[in-house]
Amino acid sequence: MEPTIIRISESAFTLSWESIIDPAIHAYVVEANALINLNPFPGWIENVPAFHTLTIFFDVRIAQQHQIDNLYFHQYIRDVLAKEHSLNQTAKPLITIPVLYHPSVAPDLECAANSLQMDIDTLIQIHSSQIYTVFLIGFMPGFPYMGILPDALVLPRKDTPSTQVPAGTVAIAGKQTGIYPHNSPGGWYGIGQTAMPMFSNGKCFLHSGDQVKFMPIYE
Amino acid sequence: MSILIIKPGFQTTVQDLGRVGFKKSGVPESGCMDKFSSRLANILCGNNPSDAVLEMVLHGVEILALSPLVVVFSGGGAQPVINKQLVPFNRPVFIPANSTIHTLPYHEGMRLYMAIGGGIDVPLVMGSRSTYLPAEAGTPCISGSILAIGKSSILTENILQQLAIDFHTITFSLWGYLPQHTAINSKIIRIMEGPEWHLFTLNAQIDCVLQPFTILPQSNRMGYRLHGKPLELIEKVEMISTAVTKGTIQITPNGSLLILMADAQTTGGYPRIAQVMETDINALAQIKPGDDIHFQMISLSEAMKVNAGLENLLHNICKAVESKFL
Repeated sequence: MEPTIIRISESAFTLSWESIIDPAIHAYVVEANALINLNPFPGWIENVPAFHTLTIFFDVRIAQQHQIDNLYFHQYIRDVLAKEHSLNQTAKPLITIPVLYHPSVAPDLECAANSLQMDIDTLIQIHSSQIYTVFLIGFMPGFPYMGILPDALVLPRKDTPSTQVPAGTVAIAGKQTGIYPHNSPGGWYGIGQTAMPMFSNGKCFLHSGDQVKFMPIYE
Repeated sequence: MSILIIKPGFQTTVQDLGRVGFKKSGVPESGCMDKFSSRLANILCGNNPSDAVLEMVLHGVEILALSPLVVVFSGGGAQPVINKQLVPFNRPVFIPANSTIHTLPYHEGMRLYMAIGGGIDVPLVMGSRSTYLPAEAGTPCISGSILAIGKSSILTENILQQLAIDFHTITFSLWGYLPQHTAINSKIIRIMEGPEWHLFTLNAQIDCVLQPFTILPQSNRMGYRLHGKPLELIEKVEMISTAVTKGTIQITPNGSLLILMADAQTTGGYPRIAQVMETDINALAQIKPGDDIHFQMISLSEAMKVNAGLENLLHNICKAVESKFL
């Protein structure tokens, strides 16, 4: 599927596919991201994937030296997306994240289960049996937006966000699940806690396209 | 060589030209909000334009020089004073060890940049010295903080040689860059149509460029909140989050404008009505809460010409300094 190409600033343009949150559409984002990383143009800096878009940031000075303009970008995108790459058929490895699902570390586990009209064990079982796609990292360093959450667990974001969600909180909201890398305010429901660091020493643990499963651990 | 922060004022942070290549990890660029002033200050004391400087919001700062230094002040928002002498902007100044720098209120601008010959030498985090606490990047500038200064370049050494009468006397150079301060007086901010421009009503599009907007007090390095006529969408949209960049003007659900700045989140889901051109982000950095701005529409190619003009100006200033002192 061909994306639309929009110039969003002097130093970035965005490739956009169908505007829905769906791993099948996100697969195009992941593919394009990999191909551009393997075949960068002069001045290319980085790509920022999201749900249905890939934004490409570049150095304007270098690009201008190579006379890179909108026409060049269109041709470049057409050419690079047509390339085959050997990673195409390789299945992404599954990343397992150990989670302690317990009210003592998860501030909203009980009230989330109540709102969803199920017992805590059922909530844990449903949340931890799904394989999630990491759509993007955003909101704060290392925060992964993952989905799709099973319908049975869908809750709207909190009206009043918590002022302090502890680092390591595994949370849900809407059709997404995420992990707070640092203490922060947040509007998602904290249902568990992981000791696995999402961001440390300038490195992000998860990346767009990763496949993730949560593994309940018990004290 | 080093300096001691005695009083940090409203907000003083170490910044350089930003952290590049980490947006995909949710780490914004950060860096100097007014990159024209910061680079100018660096160039005039013989530094690399990308060296780390102090960015000081408004006045009330007190710094002790623990060693002899060459410094340049640029931008606006505060009037620097050294050992009771008013310091001119945009020219190198030699200050002896144990000099105290104060900053007083100033009528124009919002952010004062202090470049020190040798650059501020704090640890690099993800390739940059810019402060961004959520990623544990940055050295605090609070009362008692001591900041190391790096080794001077040959250019800085030569500037110091020519400038300093001896090691005890504050000396202002006779050369520098005019105008007096680079806090651009213009309150006209040039913008390009945003990706969701066409989702807004005709009235919203017209109001965007005709109406004044006031900078609200809660504006900061993450974003500027504006007060003004609400701008309406043709119909309500549920946007899916996508990557955003500094200078992006989002419209929040109640129709108000939010301009993303250096420390803004890397992704967002509000509709984007317009994009501030790169050069005018520097101008925005110097506009105070309570001030009014007007937007003016320009094309991408016009924006790129203006930006290139600014780069040429800085390049020429750099060459002029080099030809005089190398």
